[in-house]
Amino acid sequence: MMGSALIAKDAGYRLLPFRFLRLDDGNSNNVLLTAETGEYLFVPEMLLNTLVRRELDTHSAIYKDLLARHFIYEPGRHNPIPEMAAQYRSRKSFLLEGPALHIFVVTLRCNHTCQYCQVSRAPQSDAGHDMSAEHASHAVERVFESSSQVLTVEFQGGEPLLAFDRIQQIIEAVEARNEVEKRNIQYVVTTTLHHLSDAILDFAERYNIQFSTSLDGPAFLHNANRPTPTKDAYERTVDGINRVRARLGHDAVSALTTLTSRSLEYPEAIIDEYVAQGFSSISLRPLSPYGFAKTSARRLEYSMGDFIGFYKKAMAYLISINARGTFLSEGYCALLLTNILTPFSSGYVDLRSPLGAGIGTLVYNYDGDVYPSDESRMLLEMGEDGLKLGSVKQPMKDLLNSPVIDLLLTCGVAEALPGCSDCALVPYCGADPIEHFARQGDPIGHRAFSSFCEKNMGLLTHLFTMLRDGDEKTLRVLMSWLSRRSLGDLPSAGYRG
Amino acid sequence: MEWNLTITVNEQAYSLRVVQRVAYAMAATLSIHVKPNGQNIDLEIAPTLIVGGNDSRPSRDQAHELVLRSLNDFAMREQIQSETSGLRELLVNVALRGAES
Repeated sequence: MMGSALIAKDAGYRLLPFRFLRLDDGNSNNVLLTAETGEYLFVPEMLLNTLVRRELDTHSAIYKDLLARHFIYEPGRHNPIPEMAAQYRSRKSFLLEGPALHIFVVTLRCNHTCQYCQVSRAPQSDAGHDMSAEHASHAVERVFESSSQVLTVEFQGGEPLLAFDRIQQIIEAVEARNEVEKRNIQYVVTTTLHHLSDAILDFAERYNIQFSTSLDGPAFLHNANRPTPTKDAYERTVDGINRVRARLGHDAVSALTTLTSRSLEYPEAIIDEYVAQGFSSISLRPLSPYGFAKTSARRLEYSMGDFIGFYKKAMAYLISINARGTFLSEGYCALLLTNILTPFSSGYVDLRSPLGAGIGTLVYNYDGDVYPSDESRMLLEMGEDGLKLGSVKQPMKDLLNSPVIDLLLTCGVAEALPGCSDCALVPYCGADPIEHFARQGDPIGHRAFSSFCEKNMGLLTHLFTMLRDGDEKTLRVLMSWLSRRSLGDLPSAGYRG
Repeated sequence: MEWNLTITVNEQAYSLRVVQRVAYAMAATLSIHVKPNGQNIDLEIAPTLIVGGNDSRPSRDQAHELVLRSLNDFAMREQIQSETSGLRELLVNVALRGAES
């Protein structure tokens, strides 16, 4: 005991807070160390013990690495806190602003009858599911009560283009107010693109509106996933993509993929479809436990293990086609890479801690109620209204002082949650109390049974393994996704973690 | 085949906090009943059978190894936590000064 105390006292370095994770994959560098700043290092198991016992050779290369990456410091020689604080502040910079993402649910009406629908919908002709002009005006007031200089105004549904007059009203009101406010505002419409018209495209061109659509793969998959009376959902969406591009430019439309259990059999076909349609990004998302997806779960859902297996196959295929010269990044992977390899946060609300719901996002529902995230208003459609923040007529200060925000913050700091607080992946992950409430009936949830945890653990460890073991080709592809530049435009020196 | 296993640890080597964290972390695979017993703590271990648990069930020997490794890992985490106590809070305070306004 005395001996080890003396060694500790005499050692020239002290530990900084860090976490570790074993990857049982047979590699000699099988322990992942992660610092509070998000810096990381793979080390052999023996080195972890030596490090913690403070017996490292201070002249070794690994010592210098650990010092540079903020796992250790030398008292009296260097105070690491100011530079670590600057890095930490950058990673948490989203906390310094008010809500930046404002989602307007202008209608619940939709022409699709998707069984897995994550957002819930009403029949196309159903009255009483559209946002009123009065509620829309109040919501615009709320948007500008946020202190964020950069704002995204997103329109969702149902199918928001079925309530295009309301979208027009909102954007014109935002533009008028912004003459004085001078914020940086981006508009996004999440739509099937089935109801595009020249008038809509004229308006979109005037206000630089981006379109986000869903493309689930080739026609046989997309049409099976998204039934319409005319059985031509794929053809109409692809036609919409082409019309938007012809009028607004190639990058004015992006697409997301919803994966049913059938989709999991076709990773290559789904990716080939995105290549054929000229997209530069694909987002491979598992089904969410909300809306109609929950009630159809028995038929449509699959285990997270199945999804992770699919994702790994898809990633291998994506790497191979990118290496051959086609630029197509996987959206979630690019976000995770930003969290791992840059000093900044990706900004993605699901990968934030403290949580993104409410703090970074507000949802104005068609009926004038306000929610902290799209997922919480989806729970409403499942009969759960406990996550409502209030009415769109209340000032944002009141909405953000709601007991719901208190509850979400209590359960929404990953670094303080059971399981997460010890997890080496927590600097790159987020907290999602709403998903845990939906799946486990408890906003904290049990990490050992959490799909959110299983997904992010699975994808992050796969990505870390690729960063550690990947050949030059793989690393260059990942760097091209991170920098959003094609392989040919990357500098020749690749990254080595 | 079902099995049961009891591992007894000394509280001087593995605190109750460490043992509880092991039980939490391994819940998908192993069901662990933590029983303080004087200066010792008994871990009564069985494979997790409930829906939502992990599909792969370790053997008794594998479980023994997994639990010991997890105990040592969490003991090391506790040591790191103890030696860096206060630094994490200091870092967050310095980094996010002004964020509350």
